[in-house]
Amino acid sequence: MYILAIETTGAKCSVAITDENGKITELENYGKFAHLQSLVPMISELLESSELRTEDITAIAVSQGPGSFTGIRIGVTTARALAQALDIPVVAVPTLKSFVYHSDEGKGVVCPVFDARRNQVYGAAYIYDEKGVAIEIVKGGAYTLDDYMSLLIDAVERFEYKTLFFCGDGANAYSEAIESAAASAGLEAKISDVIQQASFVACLGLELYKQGQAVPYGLIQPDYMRESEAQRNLNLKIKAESECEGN
Amino acid sequence: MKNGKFLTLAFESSCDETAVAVVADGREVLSNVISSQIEIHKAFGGVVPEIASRHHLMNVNAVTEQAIEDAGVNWDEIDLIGVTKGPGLVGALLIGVATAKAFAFAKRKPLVGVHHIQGHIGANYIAHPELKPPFTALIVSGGHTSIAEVTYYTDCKIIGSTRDDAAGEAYDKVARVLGLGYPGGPKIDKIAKEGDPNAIKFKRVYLEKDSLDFSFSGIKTAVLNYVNSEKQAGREINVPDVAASFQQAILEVIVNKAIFATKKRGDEKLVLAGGVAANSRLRAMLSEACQSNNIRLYFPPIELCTDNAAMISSAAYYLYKQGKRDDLTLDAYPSLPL
Repeated sequence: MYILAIETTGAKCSVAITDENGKITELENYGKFAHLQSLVPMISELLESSELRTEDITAIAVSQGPGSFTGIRIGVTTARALAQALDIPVVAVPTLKSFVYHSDEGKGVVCPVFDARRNQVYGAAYIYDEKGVAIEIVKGGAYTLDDYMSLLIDAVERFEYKTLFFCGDGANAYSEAIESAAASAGLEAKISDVIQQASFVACLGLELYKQGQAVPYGLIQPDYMRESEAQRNLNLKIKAESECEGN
Repeated sequence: MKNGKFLTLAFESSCDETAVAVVADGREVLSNVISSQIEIHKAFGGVVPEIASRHHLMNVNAVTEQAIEDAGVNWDEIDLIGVTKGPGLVGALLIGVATAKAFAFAKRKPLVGVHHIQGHIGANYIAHPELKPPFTALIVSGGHTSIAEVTYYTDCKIIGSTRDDAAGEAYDKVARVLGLGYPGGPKIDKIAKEGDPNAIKFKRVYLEKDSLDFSFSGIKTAVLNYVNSEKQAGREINVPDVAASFQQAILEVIVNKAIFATKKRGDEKLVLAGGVAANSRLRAMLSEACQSNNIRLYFPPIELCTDNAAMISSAAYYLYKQGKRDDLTLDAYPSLPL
């Protein structure tokens, strides 16, 4: 069996194929936001170099967000349409959690943070249990950096970890603030410049697939973790109006 | 191919309609499925790009399924995939483009990207089997007000265009000022029927002599000023009269310029296209003007005026027949020139 993994939520567009044993080949396209143009040709190139045909793909794993709204849509739309066309299922891979497969610095606290602008980050944190299974200790969501760091420090206090591994484009963007918040809690922050990558999506996708979490394409949704600005404003307006009526 | 006919399946998602259609030989509609988001955007008083994109993503697959089913065809019989590549809202366009590319790749079908306006013109080939270029086209929609010369199915050149707002935008803004809601075009068209088009004389903007360009920002401001000054003077606004007079001022200019362009080019045919082609007053005024100028007027039925994918299928078919192909690097182009 082969799983095709798609990652378009960050600055880098990448695709990967894994077999049932987790043997991965990956192709990436760094540096320019041309994901819509690049994605399908990259899938075609990867299949060709792997000597596979579209019919050989068993399932598609797609990074569902958070991240760039446009990027999420390119990946999820392509995954849904490919699955529909090829009549195969899809695994939705939570983008933040895919970073648990980036652990080349040993087992510690994995803290993926993406720059969400508007003074926010999309963040989460994971540790591993004795079987090596990742456990979420800070729930993935959109936070101010301060809120994220205090949730993280509170969660870490309950375990013996002293080192936090930060990754994602928010790690570098907010490295000073992250380091000083960690230091004031007696923790060490290690900042890496690793960002979203299809091989992470392939790893977590394979795990989820084996757990029976592949579903028909129609059930796959993006996980933006944030409403559109217009919707937020409308919600505020409705709330304000209902409060006025209540008075 | 089915029964010797060439089948094109196309996607359209440039604004707030998610549409997929199957058309045979560029003219015969086998299916034309449209999922409209108009009710969703009403709450915001206009189309919100981010929300439109999110809904396109969730809708497009089921709409595709329905289009195949309605057409009574299977994927093996589809010969070509067409898609609107621009202009439009980039986040909305990319849903159609990404879906079209995924299907073209997975089903090994040729792919052709289509200019949205060329699609609107294509709606007339579907409605009028006898229609052939050359002709002059008047394209009026929410985002476009243009006059084009169409020399061949695939050759189309803009010879006049709006310099500021599209007519549809002016309709939306005036409808908001008059408290008629969104979308403005059909609301104004409806209430104007009860009003006097000559009640208020709004200035007709023709720009330079013989210009085929339009400007609609002035009339919008003029209506706004009129409404405000009447209110200040304590007079009640006669909404049907304002709507009728506004519409008359806009449409008179559009009709006169379209007739002028057709005659100047020596064309015998004028083709109306775009969402505002559904406007009953515009149809009536153009019909009358064409008749007295010996011009044959073509316009599509209402269901092919608004955004749909059947028109994109038709345009894609003619582009393909001319040898046009796009590869899988096809992009979405929010401001694509014709």
